[in-house]
Amino acid sequence: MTANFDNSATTFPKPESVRRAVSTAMVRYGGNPGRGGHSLSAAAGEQVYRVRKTAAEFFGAEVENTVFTPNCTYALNMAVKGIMQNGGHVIITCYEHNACSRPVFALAKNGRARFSIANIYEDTDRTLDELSALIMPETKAVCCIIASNVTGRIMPYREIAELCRKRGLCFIADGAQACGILDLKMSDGFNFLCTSGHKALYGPSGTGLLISDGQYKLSTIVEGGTGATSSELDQTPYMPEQLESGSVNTTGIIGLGAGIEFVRRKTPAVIRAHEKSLCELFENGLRNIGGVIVYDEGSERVPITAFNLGEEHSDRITTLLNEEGFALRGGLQCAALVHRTLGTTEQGVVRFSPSAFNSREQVRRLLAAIQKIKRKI
Amino acid sequence: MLLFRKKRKRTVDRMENFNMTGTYIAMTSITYAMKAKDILNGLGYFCEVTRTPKNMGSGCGYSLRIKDNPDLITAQLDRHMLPYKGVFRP
Repeated sequence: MTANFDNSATTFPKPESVRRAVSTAMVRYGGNPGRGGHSLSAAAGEQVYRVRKTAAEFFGAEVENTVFTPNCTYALNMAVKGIMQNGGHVIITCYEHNACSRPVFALAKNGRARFSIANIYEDTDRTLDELSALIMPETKAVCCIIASNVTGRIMPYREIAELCRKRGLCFIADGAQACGILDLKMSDGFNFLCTSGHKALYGPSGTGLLISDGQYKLSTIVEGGTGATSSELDQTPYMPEQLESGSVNTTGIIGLGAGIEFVRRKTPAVIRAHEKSLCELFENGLRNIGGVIVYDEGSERVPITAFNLGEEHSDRITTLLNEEGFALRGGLQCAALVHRTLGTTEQGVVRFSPSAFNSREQVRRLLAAIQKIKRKI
Repeated sequence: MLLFRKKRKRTVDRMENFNMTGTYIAMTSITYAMKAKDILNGLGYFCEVTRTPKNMGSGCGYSLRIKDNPDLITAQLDRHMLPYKGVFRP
């Protein structure tokens, strides 16, 4: 069986509790939540509310400010476009995933907003100075990834949040790689925290969260049925339904609830320590192999290792590793800006991203496979 | 045989508007309705979430069915900043 070291894309396997929850949801909670007064709808509605409460508590948010989305990309689009609806200027960083940079670029391309890209430096003060210098009178928001999906590098998100607070800017955070690994709370200074549910929160694919601190009201980018105020043609103004048009992914949400419970019980700190120890084992092994470049090696990172074997294209390495029974991600990891920053747009990088379910033995076998490939190329 | 145990505190004040069908408080969303139910049940009040009866609201919606003094309940909703649309008696 293939050993999955591409958990930054989606964690697999999922905890047994998640599998059970999804199975139960398919059998018992088939009603459409919030869409009727009958018992099937009510039972599903109770379950969705229970998960909403679990997620809200996990991130220190109010339940009505906790919105279910299909993934982190949707959450980021909703936040960025919702804030920039009437134009203005937004700042992003050179470490953004395309989920942030593409909606911002699309707004600019259509003449609806302007944007600037801030560099991230090892020196946090220098990063903050650059961000400050980019702020204009029409700047409305800063959108920043918390931890890079390519190298795992952790951004100075608390300091950026503080800068935004002082300058009266909305801070939109992309927590896709950080939620479930770092102990993140809305009190860290996020106005919007966007995350996927299927990565380090261990929920099923097709789940995500958009969590707000309630300070900013988003314009909607999707309107439709919400199960409330149905006689009105205006979108319901009440959260979270205002941002959840159409039927929600009940099965996925119930699975996500079990995933968050799994993380809460283990704690993000314990999961991170386990994965970090696997990354350390892996990086020590890479050093022994030689001829390997590890990116952002000296930075504080979530447990991700981005590397290359000499000049070899990353996709060739991951193809060969797949033949050896290991799933790692090559190429650009949907992060054009990061690869421009790293100078790896042509080669890409190989990304190693373990989960709570990977073992040291699997890492040792992976290192042996890399050694074998190194001899071959 | 004891079939169920009610947590509700039976004070005279809280029971003064009690009737068999209860009173409805129309909520703005199912999430606020569920949150209100959580809070009110936690305070010992009877409260259940139900579809807003047809003659009480415009369009679809959810209500709290309560059996206690509606003034006490709405005071709690205000205290917890839970928006509601109105209080109805069938």
